[in-house]
Amino acid sequence: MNFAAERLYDDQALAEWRDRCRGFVEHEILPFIPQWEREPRLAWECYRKLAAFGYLRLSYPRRLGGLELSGIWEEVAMEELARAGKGPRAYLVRIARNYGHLLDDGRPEHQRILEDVLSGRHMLAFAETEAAGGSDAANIRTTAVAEGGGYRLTGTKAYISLVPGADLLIVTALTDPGAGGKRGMSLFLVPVDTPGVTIVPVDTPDLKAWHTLGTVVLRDVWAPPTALLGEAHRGFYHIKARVWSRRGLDHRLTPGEALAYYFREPRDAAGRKTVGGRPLLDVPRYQSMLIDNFGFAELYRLASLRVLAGTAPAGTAASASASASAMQFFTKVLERQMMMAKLEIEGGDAVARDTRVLQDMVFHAGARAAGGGVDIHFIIVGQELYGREWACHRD
Amino acid sequence: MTPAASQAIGAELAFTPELSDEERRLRAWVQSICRRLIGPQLTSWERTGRVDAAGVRALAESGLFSLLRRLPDGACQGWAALALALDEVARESASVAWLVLAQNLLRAFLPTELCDGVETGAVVVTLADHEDQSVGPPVGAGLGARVTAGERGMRLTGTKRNVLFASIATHLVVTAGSEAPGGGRFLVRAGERGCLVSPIVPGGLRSAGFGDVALSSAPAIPVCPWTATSAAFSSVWRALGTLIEIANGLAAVAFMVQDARRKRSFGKPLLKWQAIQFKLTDGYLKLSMVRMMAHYFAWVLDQRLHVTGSGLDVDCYAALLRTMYCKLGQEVQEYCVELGSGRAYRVGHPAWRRYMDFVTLLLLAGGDDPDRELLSRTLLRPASTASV
Repeated sequence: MNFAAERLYDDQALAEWRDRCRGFVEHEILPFIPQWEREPRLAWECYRKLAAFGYLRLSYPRRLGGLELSGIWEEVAMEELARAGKGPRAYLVRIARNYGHLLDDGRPEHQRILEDVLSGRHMLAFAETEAAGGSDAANIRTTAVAEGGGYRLTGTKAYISLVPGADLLIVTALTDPGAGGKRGMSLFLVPVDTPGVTIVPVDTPDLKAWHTLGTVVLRDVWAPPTALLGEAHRGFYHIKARVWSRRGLDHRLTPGEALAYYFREPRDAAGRKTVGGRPLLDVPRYQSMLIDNFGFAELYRLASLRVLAGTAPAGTAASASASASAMQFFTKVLERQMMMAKLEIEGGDAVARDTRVLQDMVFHAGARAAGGGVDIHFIIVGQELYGREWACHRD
Repeated sequence: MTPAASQAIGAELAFTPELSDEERRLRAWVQSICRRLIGPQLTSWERTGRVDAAGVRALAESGLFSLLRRLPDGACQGWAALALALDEVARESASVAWLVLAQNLLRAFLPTELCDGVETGAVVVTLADHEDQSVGPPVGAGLGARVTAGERGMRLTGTKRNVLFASIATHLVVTAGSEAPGGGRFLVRAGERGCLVSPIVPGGLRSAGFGDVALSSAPAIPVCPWTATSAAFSSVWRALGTLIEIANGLAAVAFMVQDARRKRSFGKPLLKWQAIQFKLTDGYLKLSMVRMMAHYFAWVLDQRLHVTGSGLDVDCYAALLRTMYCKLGQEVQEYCVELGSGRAYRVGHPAWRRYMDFVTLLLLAGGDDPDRELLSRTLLRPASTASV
């Protein structure tokens, strides 16, 4: 079996890269977190700093202005960024990292825009979900009617991450409603300031500056022919090929973070706290919880090695989306168990000291809401396992 | 499940770490052995309660019993290959997988001439650990079986319970205490005067040739004192045994997927119902993850790493594997037999057979209490903070 990816962590150059990332996070990000979190809107300054360092283009190929680092390098960079909490990593970086790939359709004008996104001059939001369709990418009602060589877009997109804040939207719309979402959907690049686009913010104070949400209303929005991303009517497959295999990594912890956060920190807390006159660490129930957390973190680490191998630059292995989905399952199912154990062990300490655990609990809930729960990922994994008869929107 | 089905599903495992070309060839080779040598004989072996002599010979000659290579320094290599083989064989028969594991591992305790016998099937060696009063991994000092040294050499007295392959073994590796500190493992020839095997019929692992072994001043040769080596052997035995349990569970899931396609409920196949799909996927994912831990464990042994990437030594990693299997993997097998409902209740039904194998394996290996104890001592003591 190829577990050799683990050996890559021993690499000297990788250690130097880790030091660079750590220095950047400690000097350029951590001191400003309280200030950014006081702002009601998205932390653009943080976004630009991350872009300037290269965080948005770690795994992009050089032809698109990326650094073309392998998965493990990106992992290390993310692990260091995680020291600043879930906000910057999960919500700011992922947008460009994942959805920017939709701009890679071979057209020079879109490539230039992608380069601007990766360097922090633009921020993208992916206007995909609708209230009636949820996680089902093909279940949309927004239409794009061909008119005068371009398109007229009409519809409403709900719960779109980083809206407001983003200045560019990628919108999914039906160009052939009769063919349905899978064979009749196209993608359009729409600047937020286009006439007819209205952004209605959704109030998410608990997610602070990091994860703004909004509704996007499109009323007869004119999109020129150059706004079309990829081929007409092939939008579903464009998303599938470029985004799905990466999506499972959106909100996940890095393995090092999982171990530190869900095992070491509660273990240290259990050593300090007492119950009935003896340390929590001596109580079998808490011992078991900590051991479970350690075990989950290890499962997570191994799964990460597998996913890293499958999502190296331009990696589009057939099972990559299932791997990413399985990772999502882990993030949402096992991480929840780990979180509960941590909360129970750290208990009053967490509330009194306003430690990161409460904030991350909120982010965790936000991620679950944004990612649409685990059901869709079960379907994706299940279809790979059990074949087409599963009820699923994938081809 | 047929090997072909196993192969089809195996090829789609989302969490299977990538196999090298050599490993793919190895897997195909093991699958062909399952198809030719194990599958056709399984019913007959289960009826008689043991793998027959011809079957043992055929398996030995195929090379399945000599997957581990001994290096000049005494260490072994080929763990990943052994794990891969166990994974495949256990999908066909958990009993035969245990036979493969025992022959590969216990050869380390045999003199050279007996090792050669293992490769031809003339020698079948098994491990006699369990006693009435002991649960989980054996410890030398607490054992009832005792060795005494006299003028006629070492003699072993005691009773060992639920010994796998006792009814076909030619040699037993017996754990026993002694006057010397710690005790150790001793080699006893089955059928020798003073060694009486009483076959028993268990609910599961029906071709494993279970038996109780009564030893009364049986001649014994010391093969391994209670040292770190012996403890490491126990860890490897336990970890790879857990892999057999995991593979048995995955085979049960694969069978139930096929079964749920055929079986109808409320007018459509069971597998069309999301409640069924989700539960099977949930179980499959959890088993697959723990399975990956087992293969990683084998990889670590092959790499001769003393510490895994998570900072645990090999003994602790084996304990963690067992803990995670007990935590995540066992409920899946319960669900599989539940899904089979009335039909699975029949003796001989594949779901029932898998379930009874699962229960028997669990009884043999015990729960994860000793493993949690070991992990508590290692992971949770203050001094360990720096290491993990």
